[in-house]
Amino acid sequence: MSLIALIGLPNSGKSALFNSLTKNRQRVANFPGITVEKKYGSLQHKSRDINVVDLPGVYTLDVSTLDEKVTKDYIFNKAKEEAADAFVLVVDATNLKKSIYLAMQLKEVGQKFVMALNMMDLAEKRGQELNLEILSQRLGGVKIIPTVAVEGKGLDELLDAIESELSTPQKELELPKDFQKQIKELTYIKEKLKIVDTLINEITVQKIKHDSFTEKLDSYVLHPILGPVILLTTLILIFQVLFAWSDPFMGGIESIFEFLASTITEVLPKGLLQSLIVEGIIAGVGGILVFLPHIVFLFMIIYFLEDFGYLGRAAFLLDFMMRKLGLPGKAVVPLLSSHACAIPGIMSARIIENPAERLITMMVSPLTACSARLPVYTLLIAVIVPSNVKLFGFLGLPGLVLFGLYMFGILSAFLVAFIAKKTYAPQSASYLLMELPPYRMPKILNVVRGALQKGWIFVKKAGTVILVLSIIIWGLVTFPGPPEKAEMPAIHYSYAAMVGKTFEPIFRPLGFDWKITTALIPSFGAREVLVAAMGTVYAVEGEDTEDESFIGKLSEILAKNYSLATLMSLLIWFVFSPQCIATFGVMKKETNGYKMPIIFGAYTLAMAYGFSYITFLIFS
Amino acid sequence: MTLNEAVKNKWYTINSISEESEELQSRFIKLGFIPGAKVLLKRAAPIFQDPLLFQLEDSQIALTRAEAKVIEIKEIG
Repeated sequence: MSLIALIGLPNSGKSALFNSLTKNRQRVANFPGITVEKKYGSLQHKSRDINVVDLPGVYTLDVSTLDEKVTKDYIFNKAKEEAADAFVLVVDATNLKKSIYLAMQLKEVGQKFVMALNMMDLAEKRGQELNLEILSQRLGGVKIIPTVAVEGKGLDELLDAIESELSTPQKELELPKDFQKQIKELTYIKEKLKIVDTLINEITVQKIKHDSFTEKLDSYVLHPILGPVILLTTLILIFQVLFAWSDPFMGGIESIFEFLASTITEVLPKGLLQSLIVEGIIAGVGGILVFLPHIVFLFMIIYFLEDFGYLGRAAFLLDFMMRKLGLPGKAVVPLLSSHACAIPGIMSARIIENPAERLITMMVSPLTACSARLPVYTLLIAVIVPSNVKLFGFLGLPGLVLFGLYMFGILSAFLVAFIAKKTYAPQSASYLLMELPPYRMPKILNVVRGALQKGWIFVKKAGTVILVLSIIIWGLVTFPGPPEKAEMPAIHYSYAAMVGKTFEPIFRPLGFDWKITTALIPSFGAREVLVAAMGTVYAVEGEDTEDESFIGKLSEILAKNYSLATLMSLLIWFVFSPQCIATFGVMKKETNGYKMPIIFGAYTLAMAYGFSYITFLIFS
Repeated sequence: MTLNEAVKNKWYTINSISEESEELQSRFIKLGFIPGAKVLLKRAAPIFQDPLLFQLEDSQIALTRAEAKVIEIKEIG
């Protein structure tokens, strides 16, 4: 099968073209450097199967970051994994200069490519007219295809052009002597840029008009007073909207699982199988899937802001303040993403070039309140905070406490970052140095598809990891079963209780009894499992309570059995505790070793224990 | 003078980029900070007046004041 590789400047619409070509709705982003990994897709053209890889953006072949090196290796046919059979250089038609510079370098090293002149609609709207024939001639007969990637325009022509490239065989590249050194030299760069300038003059029939929309919007978004106000409003709105949108969907999912549970209870005879399905699987997996809407909506909002071009502006507005707190402005992307899930958050830290700052960002991002903490927070808040109290008559107290927990997470992240920066990398230079892309209206379809994709990953996690964990917990809780003349509830005689009781002394200073300790163990796999585990430990389904919903029942039981101090301590435990296993996995992958994940585990565990202990003391 | 001293909405040409940090220099060059290129300070970030937003030829580039200090400029005209 043939492989074509997409290359181009950051933000030239590569990802959009990739999506349109492969129909594999990968995300399109309007933030420099968002293609943090190679993305693969496949397509069929005239009954020929073609693989497509979307490579990280580069400005020139003089590369400095790890991401850029990946791209260079492909261009020089030196990638270890595979060799591309053809290259597509994606060019933003509204900003030609740097792309043509890159095109000339490709020509210089002898790499063949097809040029996709993208965003033609925007260029035309702004009055640009080009003579593509001359451009093609000057670049040595390169095929140039005008495209509008987000709308899928020009794709057939592009694929035809690629196909004819595929039939000519790849040849060894012969790099000009001293090429690597030369491309760094100013005289070389200036000379080439002069040629680019002349070329652009030559091909321009009608010059492009100024992008007045971006100009105008920036005068509000970056305004001395309005700018910060808009930023703060946006952040608050994100959380408000998130909960408002998610609520009805969550209710819907909850009732589906309640219906399933009651149906199965009726249909199946009482016994192990019924217990496995209802108390193990439905309670475990259902308790987690409730948070699907929340995750999908959060990703939708983040993707929208990213594609629109706002995240770059947010980084600009926050850079100074965040820098004082030990993180660069660009860290706003990983920190914001981590509110959905720390895994994409940690991965997106790649946009930070400074290695020390990138590392610090990765280490603190998981402290922000990811969506998996939400089930735990919601449950505990329902127990601790009276829901009928309203502040100023309209702000519900539970919502405020939740907002406070989010803030607490962010503050902790900054606190740790500050200390780490001061001790670990006080001198380390850090760059902002970032291009602010023009605003572009996001294609809502792409935003929704991207978010649904993330949602699907979450569902798969619920269907695999969490399903398995739920069954294991159920097994630990159910077996070996009580003796014949048992006086206490069955759980007391289970394996889970034995494990929980073994670890109980360690957690007793925090106010946790063996039941909580038992439930904590599986929650290292995935935080949200705590809710299901507590449910199982207390055999909630069998309890007779006023509130009929699972969460309602559980919170009644918790309120009955635990002091405020214990519940608060548990809440604080979940702000800091090292979770989940997947976070460790991605951290190991991103830092290339076990050292950082171990340090991360140790420091978060210490913080969790310390803060929970203090909290317990304060409230008891 | 250096780029951090630029006056708002006035065009300058870039004279040179300090070679103190090779990495920083190469990043600047990639984004188009080349001797002879025209640059204009559009705005400073609210409150702290740092970072700065420049118009560099056709693109908008954000730099911290410390980064801008590395670039020597001269007034046009």
